[in-house]
Amino acid sequence: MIPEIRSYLNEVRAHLNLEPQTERRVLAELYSHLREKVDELELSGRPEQDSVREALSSFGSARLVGRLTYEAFSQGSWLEALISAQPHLIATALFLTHFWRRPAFLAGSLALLAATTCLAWLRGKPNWLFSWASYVLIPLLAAAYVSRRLAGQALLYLLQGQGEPSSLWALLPLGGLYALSFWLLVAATTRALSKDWVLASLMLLPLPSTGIWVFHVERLAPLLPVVSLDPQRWDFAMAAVFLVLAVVSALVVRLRQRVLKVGTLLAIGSIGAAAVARSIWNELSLIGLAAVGLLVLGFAWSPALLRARRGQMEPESWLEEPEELS
Amino acid sequence: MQGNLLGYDSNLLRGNTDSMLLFLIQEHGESYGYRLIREIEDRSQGFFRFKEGTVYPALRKLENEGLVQGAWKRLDSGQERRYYRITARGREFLRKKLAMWQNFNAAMGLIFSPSGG
Repeated sequence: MIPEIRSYLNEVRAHLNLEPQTERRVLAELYSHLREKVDELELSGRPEQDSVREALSSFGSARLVGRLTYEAFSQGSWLEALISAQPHLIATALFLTHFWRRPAFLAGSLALLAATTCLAWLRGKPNWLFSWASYVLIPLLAAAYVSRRLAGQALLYLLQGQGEPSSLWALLPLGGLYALSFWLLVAATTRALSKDWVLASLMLLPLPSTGIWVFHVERLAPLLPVVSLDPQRWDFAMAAVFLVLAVVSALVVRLRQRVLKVGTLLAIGSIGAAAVARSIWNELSLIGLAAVGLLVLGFAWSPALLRARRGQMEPESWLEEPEELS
Repeated sequence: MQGNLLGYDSNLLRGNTDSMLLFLIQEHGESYGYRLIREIEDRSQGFFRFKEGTVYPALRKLENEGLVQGAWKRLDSGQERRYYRITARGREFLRKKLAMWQNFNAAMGLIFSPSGG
């Protein structure tokens, strides 16, 4: 491939933020066009360097082509935006009605969320999937966190012979739970990152707030009696968290321009988190609020850093032929 | 697509890009990006000129909306091209757009013609 064209297409690729497979298809098509144009100009008697320069100049800036292509691929319909917000709205309803305390409702909702996520995962992994994927991760991570004492007891018996031998029985399922949780978290994040770090961020955003909630609920345990003394404070705050997430998810899927998607994610995510923190801890100072906002901002931004790191290591795999032909 | 701002308002072209691409694809049965650009420039006698790379996002949008369907083909020369065909939905969309355009054009013609009074 002519070095100038390779360099141009690499620059387009830097602005695409699409799945590697899709990027390959897009770049192959652009390459086909540029190749044809250069050939035609050369046939008309222009020298190669001149033809390449003319072909690239008439093609438009790599940034513009990359941005327009990203927008053509990434803007979801209103229906997709609504589907993306749906799991957060279910969570909002569970907390507003306090139904999360009823095991049947909680289990039913989680089963519905998990089933939809699996189906969407198997059928093309649409952009709205990643807000649903959080709800497969949350119960697993929460169960892994809550069961840590059990695992600790089993490990203590195994390593030092202290405690009850029966605790060893818990080790196998707990090991499986930890392995599954870790694997799912890594696999889902990797998959989302390969598509777009914004989607990875969208998927991971509910984890810190839910983690803090699980931590508090468990600390106030033995579980439900104490929490139910002041159900409104936490339940309304969590409902507000999920409502903010619903708005963010819908906007990220629906908005066309990348800069608006990122701005929405970071701004509403951090301001929303600070507002919810204020409703829980009334005594929280301005510095505390800013700290909460910045923490969420950093967390939401972290997939971008991971993506940038991965991008540096990725080979120029787009040079392969489109898979429809291979 | 980004229009040539000196010759016309680029918004006019942007609003009609879909129709132009669909029309040309339908006329040929199937077509590809480079040929579509050349044809738009040739038919408009160079009036419509735009950055060639911007035709592909426009084609992608048509494909996402189910108005065209793309497929790779390898030519005898070994070159690969992505060809686009119009779908039934695309034909219906184009029919409505053409009717709308003709009505609009006729109405504008009536307004811009001398009143005769």
